[in-house]
Amino acid sequence: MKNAFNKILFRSIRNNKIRFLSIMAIIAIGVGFYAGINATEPEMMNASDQYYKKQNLFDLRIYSPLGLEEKDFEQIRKMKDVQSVQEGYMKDLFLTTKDGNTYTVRIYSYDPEDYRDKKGMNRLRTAEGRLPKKQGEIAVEAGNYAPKEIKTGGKITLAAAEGEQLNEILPTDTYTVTGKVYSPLYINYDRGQTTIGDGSVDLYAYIPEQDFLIEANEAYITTKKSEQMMTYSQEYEKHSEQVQKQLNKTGIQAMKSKKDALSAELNTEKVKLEKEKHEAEKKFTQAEQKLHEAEESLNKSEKELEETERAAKKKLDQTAKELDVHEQKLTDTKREYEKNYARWKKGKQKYIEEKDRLHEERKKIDEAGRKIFRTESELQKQKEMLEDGKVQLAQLKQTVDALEILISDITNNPPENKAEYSAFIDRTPIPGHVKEQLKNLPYYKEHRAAITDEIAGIIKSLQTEESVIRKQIDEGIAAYEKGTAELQNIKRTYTKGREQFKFAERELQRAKEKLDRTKLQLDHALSEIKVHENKLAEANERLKKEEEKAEKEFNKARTNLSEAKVELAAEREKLEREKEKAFTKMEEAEDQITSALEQLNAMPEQWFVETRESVPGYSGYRDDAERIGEVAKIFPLFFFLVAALVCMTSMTRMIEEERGQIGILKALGYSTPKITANYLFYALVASLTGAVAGLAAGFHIFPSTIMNAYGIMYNIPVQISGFHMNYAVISLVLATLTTTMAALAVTVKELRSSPSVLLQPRAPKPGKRIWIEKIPPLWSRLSFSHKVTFRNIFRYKQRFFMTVLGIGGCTGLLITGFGLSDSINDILDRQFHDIFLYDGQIVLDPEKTNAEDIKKIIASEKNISSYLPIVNMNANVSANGEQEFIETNLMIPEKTKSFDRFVHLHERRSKKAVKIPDEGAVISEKLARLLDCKAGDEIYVKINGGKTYPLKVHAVVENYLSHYIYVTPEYYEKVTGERPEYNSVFIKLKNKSKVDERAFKERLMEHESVLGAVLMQTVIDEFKDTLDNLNYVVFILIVSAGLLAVVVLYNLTNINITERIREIATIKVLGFRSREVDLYVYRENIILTIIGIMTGFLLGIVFHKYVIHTMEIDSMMFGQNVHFTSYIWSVLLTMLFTIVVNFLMHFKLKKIDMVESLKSPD
Amino acid sequence: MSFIQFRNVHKRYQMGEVTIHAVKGISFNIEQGEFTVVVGASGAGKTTVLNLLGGMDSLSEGTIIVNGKEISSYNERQLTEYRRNEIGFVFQFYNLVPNLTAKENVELAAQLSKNPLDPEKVLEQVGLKDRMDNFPAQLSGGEQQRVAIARALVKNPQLLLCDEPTGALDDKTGKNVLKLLQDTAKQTDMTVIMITHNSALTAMADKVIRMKSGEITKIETNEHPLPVERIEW
Repeated sequence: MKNAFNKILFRSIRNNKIRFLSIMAIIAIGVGFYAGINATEPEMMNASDQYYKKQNLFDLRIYSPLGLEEKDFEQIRKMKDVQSVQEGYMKDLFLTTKDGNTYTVRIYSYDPEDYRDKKGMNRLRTAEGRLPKKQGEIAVEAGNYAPKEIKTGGKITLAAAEGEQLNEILPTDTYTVTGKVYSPLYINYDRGQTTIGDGSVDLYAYIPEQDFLIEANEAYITTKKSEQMMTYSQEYEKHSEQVQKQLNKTGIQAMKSKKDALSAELNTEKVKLEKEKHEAEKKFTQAEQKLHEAEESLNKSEKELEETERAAKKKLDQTAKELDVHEQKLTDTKREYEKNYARWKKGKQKYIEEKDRLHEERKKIDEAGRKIFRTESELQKQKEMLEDGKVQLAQLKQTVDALEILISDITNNPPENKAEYSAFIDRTPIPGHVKEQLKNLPYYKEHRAAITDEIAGIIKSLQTEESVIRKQIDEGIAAYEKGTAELQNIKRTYTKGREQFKFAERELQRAKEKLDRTKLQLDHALSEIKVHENKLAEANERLKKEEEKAEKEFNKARTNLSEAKVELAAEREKLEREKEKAFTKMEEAEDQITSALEQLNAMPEQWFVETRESVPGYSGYRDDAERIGEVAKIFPLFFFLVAALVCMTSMTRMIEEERGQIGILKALGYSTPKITANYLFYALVASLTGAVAGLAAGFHIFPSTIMNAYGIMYNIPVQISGFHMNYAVISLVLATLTTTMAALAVTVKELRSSPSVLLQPRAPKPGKRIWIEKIPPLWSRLSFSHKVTFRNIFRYKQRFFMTVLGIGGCTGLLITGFGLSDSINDILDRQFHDIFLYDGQIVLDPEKTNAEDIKKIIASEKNISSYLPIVNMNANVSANGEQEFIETNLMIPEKTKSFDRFVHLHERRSKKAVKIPDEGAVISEKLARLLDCKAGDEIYVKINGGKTYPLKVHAVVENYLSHYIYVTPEYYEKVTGERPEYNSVFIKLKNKSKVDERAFKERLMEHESVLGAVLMQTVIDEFKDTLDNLNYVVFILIVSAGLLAVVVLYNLTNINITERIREIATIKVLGFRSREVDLYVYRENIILTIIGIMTGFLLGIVFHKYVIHTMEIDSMMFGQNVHFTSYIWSVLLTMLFTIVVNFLMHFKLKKIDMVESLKSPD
Repeated sequence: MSFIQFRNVHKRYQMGEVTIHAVKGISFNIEQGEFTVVVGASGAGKTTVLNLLGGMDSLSEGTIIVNGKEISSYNERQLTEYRRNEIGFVFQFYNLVPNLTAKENVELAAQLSKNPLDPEKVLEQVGLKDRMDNFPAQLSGGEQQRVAIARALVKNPQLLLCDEPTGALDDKTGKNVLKLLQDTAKQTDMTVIMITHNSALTAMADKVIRMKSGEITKIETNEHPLPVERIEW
């Protein structure tokens, strides 16, 4: 009997296998997700705790730049909370690999003695090789962050920072890498900050403790109580802070005494130095005195030499002057001589001219004499000729007379023949030629007349000749007479001229005599001049020689003197040098002492007592874990609620369907509790198995996947405890309660009816008109099947709400998941692409920097395309000056105009650009939200922890990381009365992808005024790593939500169909085609899905808002909006799931047997 | 040729390892316009016959010819069309769509048919003119069955199949329903096949097929079927 009853239970499980499984699955997913995600934070905390405990990470660390002494350690050891103390050494150095790359390394000490008997803190995990044992051995950090080129067995060299000596720190600079280790002091990529190199530590390393030549400067402490405490727990934090306080107190005293001792020592040294300085000064003064004296005597000699020289020169000058006088005189004489000589020469010239003239005159006179003679002879000739003429004339007359006688003879006594005639002619006195002429004439006595005529003709021509001669004689006589007269004149003139010449000749002779006399005088004078000249030349020669001699002597003296001078100068220089050297040395020593004193004064009043918070990544890990914890707070709860809701309805439906069976059992006489127990048991089995499975899977899957994702960032080994009582209990209770309570409620409700009622077919739920029918135009237009669909949708309210909530929940979860991813990624995209447009920031020391320096720095770096000096200072802000202050960045760009190219300030919703106003401040959005203020309000800014100033808020701008307040330099100056000191430069780069960051930074760091440089790409990359892990978590959320959506949809559709098998069978009998049957069911599903999706939108927006609100930390703002694509994705995924589920349902519908329609409804 | 011909029809169900032989090689003919009652005890196989005839189930062996068409060779799709166009079905438990009013339930069927009758007229015919807009839950059992009959008739089917239409009704109501069926058959010359376990109802049939354990024990023909009013049980 009991068996049969139990059979009912198992059979109902078997018959409703799918339902049972789906309830189980939903519970499993819900519980698994809820518990798993919730367990992640404690698992992460636990894993870290285990790791820290295993590696025995210190609880507190003391770092004292002045070193720690044995008595300090003693004192610490004596403190009541302290369990153990371990001394350590730490030094930041430069490490150069064999490839030549230099890194900033933080060197720690390793002492194997510490680790004996399972003791020792900060145990190293050896990844490869071994730990260093002896001098010159080093173990470097293992893992992905260490430079790859450092290999175990290789060698590296170490170097000290500027201003330090390596040999004062370590005995050697070459180290052999013995192995690679993980130190629990570093759990993520962060290696901390330093003051050397580019400002950040690149890696850490361990060397044997005995290698350190400096004093121990670190003390690691574990406390007695910490063993029992969880790291990160409030209890632990409180405890370690308390011990920190105590140690601080001790530290103050220890530091004071140490500082006092040191300063006393320094002061003693200072006094000593003063004394040394004094003595040195005295010594140098003496030496200087000596030198001075030597110089004086030298000066005296120089003066003497000068005087002597002057005297000698004077004498020589006098001589020279005398000689000059002589010369002058001689020159005068010479000039006189020249003058006389010239005069003489002129005279001589004149004489020669006169002489020449006289000579000419003589010639003329002689000529005249010769002419006179010539004229006389001529005249004689003329006289002779005249005489001849007269003779001729007489002859002519005789001839003529002879001839006339002849004629008469011839005529009167004619010769008989020719002989007679020639004889006749011969006898006649006539000139021969005429005789010849006449003789030649033929003579004939009978023709005597012709001869006579001829003779007559001759007579006549002779007579003509006679007249001509006569005339000529007459003329000649006249001319002769004239000539004779003229000659008489000339003869007179000649005589007179001769007399004159004779006189001139005498005069000339006298002049010549005088000239010759003068010449003699001149020659004498000349010879005298010559003598004088010679004398003078000799004198000059003598003078010159004397001068040369003097010059030579003086030169020698002078050379001696200047040599002495040079010697003196050298000596002086030497002294100066020595003095400077001595003083520099002393000054250096003094400076050292001063700076040591200053440093000492600047040294903290106490030790640097640090808790584990100082471990890089320690707080980051907690933040990451807590962030997941925050995600876990809400998201899985929604998730779980959706799952529980669906389970609850599933359960309800199932029991309602089993109504007939309940009736039978009741009719058979089973008691109400027994029947109830039956269904309770069903619910319990389903929910418990589901929950247990979910817990078993969830506790492992979620923490381990998430932790593995974070494992990339953290060196903390993944360790899963796998069970969390609190979450197990909560989820088990919630899961079973929701299902069993639903089962209980429904069973009890059903059992209230009498068995007969139960056995009868359940009164069909009354059909009801729905509100759409009240809109006739709409309703009448709907096709028939649509009407059914709508009626169905609105009639089964429970199913409606269940489906809509189920699908809506899933869509909402998907939207939340995607939206979370959007919100997280928006931080990066918006902050670094939309808002921060600059590529890097150079941090400057404002005290060493002016505008020129900035220009110089920028000019030295060709990669920089533009820059803007800016003030970036810490400021604390409060809404009213009393409330809690929030840490912000006060930004004062030098130029507001170009600022937009570096930081694009804009309002988030409207995207409207915001300019920094002349009056008032622009603040970032999250800050405004935290302060609860808006444009127009006043906020109070405390600058550098000093005075508080009110600022007027002008606008609120979009911003995601940290808080910012932007003001103009003018407004800042107006408010604070101080000029802004630009301590930063925003830069934009030309080829930012090509810039080698390390080299770029190192080049910048070479400038004295540059304190540091940051490239935004690095910031982005680092931030991206964090976000990627968070994204991974979100991815898990999305996948889980998807999974839940599939199961929920399947379950809902399944319920929907099971409930309506009869109806579906009936319409099949009526002749609905398979497609029509599908549509008859799907249409409803589709509409419900659409309504569900729309509800999901609302739920998603609310969930998302809530989740990001819970997750957000104060210094960060998440992207506020879900992206459009995320809605689309969520909708598409939900639709896809619906389609898949409906597709599966098609086969189920097809399998529905029409015979079902014939069965009685139960 | 008869309107309906069953030729050596077998139907076997495989239930796990057991084979149930529900119909064991039956043969019969039904003429057009005949009102046939199939009677037999529970498990006699009468419902199977109705299922086979209604195209809701496929036979294992034999031939079924309806209106000259061999429906036994039809595939599922053809059977759907057959049900859609030729068959009207009245269920024992009415099987109205609870979410539709009386009129809408009728319209639902009318939509399927090629040449449906006017739903309102049919409803008037079954005497539910005033209750057309009521939901099934607001109707009594008899009224619901009338709606079901109207739903079957509105398709203007060749063949009306009724599965114990009075099984869930009290006598008086049952009689009304049966009368409606009988009158309709007569008026429209529709072939009606009704299965019942109530032998009393055989009197109203033109033809009676008696079944037992999957076999036909007897086929009777009533020359003068009685009007329902005169049958007492």
